[in-house]
Amino acid sequence: MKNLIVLIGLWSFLSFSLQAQESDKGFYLKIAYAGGMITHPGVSIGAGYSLSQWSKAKSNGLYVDQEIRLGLKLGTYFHKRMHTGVYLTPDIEWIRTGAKGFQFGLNFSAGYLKTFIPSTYSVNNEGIVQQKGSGTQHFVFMPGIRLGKDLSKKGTGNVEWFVNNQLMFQTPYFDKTNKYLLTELGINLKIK
Amino acid sequence: MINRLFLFLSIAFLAVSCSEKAEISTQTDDFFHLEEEGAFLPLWVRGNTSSGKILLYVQGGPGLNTLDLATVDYLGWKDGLEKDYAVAYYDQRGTGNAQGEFDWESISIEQYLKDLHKVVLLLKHQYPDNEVYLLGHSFGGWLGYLYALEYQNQSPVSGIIAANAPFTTDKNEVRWIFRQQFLINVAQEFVEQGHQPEFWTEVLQWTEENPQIETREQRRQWNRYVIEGLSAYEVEVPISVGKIIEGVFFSSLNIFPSLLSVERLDKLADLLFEDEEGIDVLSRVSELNTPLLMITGRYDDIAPPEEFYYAFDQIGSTQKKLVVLPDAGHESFLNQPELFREAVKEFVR
Repeated sequence: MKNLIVLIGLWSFLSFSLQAQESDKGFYLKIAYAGGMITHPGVSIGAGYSLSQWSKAKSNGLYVDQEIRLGLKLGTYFHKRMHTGVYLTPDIEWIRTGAKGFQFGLNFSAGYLKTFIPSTYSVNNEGIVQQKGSGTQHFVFMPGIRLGKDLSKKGTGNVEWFVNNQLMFQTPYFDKTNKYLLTELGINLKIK
Repeated sequence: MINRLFLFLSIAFLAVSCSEKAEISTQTDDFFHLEEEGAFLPLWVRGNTSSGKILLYVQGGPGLNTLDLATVDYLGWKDGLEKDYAVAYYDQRGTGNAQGEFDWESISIEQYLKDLHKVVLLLKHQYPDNEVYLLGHSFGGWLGYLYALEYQNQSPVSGIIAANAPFTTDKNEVRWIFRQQFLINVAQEFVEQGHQPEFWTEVLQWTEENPQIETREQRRQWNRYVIEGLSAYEVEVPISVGKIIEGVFFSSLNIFPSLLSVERLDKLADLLFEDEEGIDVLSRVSELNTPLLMITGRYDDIAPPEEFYYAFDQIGSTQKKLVVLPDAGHESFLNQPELFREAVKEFVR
C-alpha cells in the first residue's frame, strides 16, 4: 500500500510539472457531489490539466474538439451503516466536445481507497468483546462515462458541468474484487 | 497540504461513522459489525428488544444473502415476529454485504460455526438482559443443530428454532428412506382426497416399483415428482418497485456483492455443501440438550416430516417440540405466517 501512495505522489508531481511546462493547454479545478450508489452522499475535489487538444471540422463546418486530460482527485462518500470511503486517485480522461458545448467522455482512475467501517466489534476466544475502529485499504480502479456541457462555448464563463458515473473496483477483497458505483455531479472551472 | 486534508477528512468521517449504542425498545433498529478472521459481518437487530428475547436468524442456502431480505422484509416479519421479539439478521461470511479480505479457505462449516458463536456473544454483550434464540432456516437450522452440538458448553443460546431444517445431508443414505416414505404418504393422501388422482396414482405405482432409492436416475425421478406435484407450496413473495428502489439506493446495501454476484454465491454454496456432507448430525441427535423447536411444512420435500418423526424420540433435549404446518412447503413461515408465529411464541415464552 505504501508503494501505491508513492506512485500516486509521483503521478501528481509529474502531472503538475507537465502542467507548468504546458500551461497554455489549460488547467482546471473541479468540485463535485460524489454519491455512492448515487444517493449516499459524498464529495470529490480535484485538479488537472489538458495534456493534448485537437479539433476536427465536420461537414457542416462546425468543429468538434477533443482532448486528453490528466488529473488528481480526492473524494469521500458516506454509505450509512456500510462504510465511509476516502479515496485518492490520479485519472486520465478523453473528452469530446461538440460545437454547442455538449460533452461525452471516457475516463479511468486508479488509486487508493481507505474505508472506515462503523460500529465494529471483535470477540476473542475467551469471549471478551471489544469495540474497535476498523476499516479496509484497497487499490481501486474506476472506469467511467461522463456527460457534460462546456459553457465557454456559448461565452457564459469558463465552466463545465458534468455527470460522471464510475464503477469502482476495490481490491484486495474476498473473491478478488468488490464493486461499487460512484456518481459525480459537478463543475470544472477552467483556468488558463 | 493534501496529506493534512486527507488526515482531516479521515478523522472527520471516522467521527461521523461512530458506533451506535444498543438501546432497549419496542422498535429497535441497531446495526453492528463483527470483525472475525478478516471478515466484517454486518448484524442488524430490529424489533422488540424490550421483550427480553432476540431471535438470531441464520440463513440457509447455503450461500444466500440475509440483509437484503431483511431490507425488503421478504420474510414478512416486520409486522409479525418483530412485534413480539427482536430479530437479528446477519450476512454470513462470503454472502451479501459481508465485507473484508478473506480467502476461500475460510469458507467452511467450522468457520461458519465460529462466526455464529461470536455473533451470539456479541448480541449477548450488546443486550445483556436479552435471551438469544437461534432461528435457522434449512441449512441455517442444520447449522444450528451443529452449533448446539459443538458449542453446547460454551454457548449462552437459550434455544434453537429449526425451520424446515433436515438433520440429514445427501451423504446420509437414510435420507432417501425418509424421502421415499414422504412421497408415498403424500401420494396416498392426495389420492384419498381426489387431488390430481391420476398423477399421484402414477407416483404410487412408481414407489411400489422402486421401494428403495439408490441410483441417480431414481433420485432424479423422485425430484421430478415432487417438483411437479408440490410446486403449489413454493412461495414467491412479490417485491414492490418501491422496496427495490429503497433497497438499491437508500439502504445500507451495496447491491454489487449482495445481488450481482450469482456465480460467486454458487461456488460458495458448492463448497459448503461439500463440507456439510462429511458431517453426520442425525447420528448425534441424542447429544443435543438445548431446548429445540422444529417446524416444518407437511409438504416440505427437503425437510420432510417423516425425517423428524424418526429423529424426534432420539433427541436428547428434554424441552423439544415438533410442529408440522399444514399446507406448507420448504418456506413454511411464508406459507403459514400466523401458525409459524404462534409456534415460535409458544416455544420462546
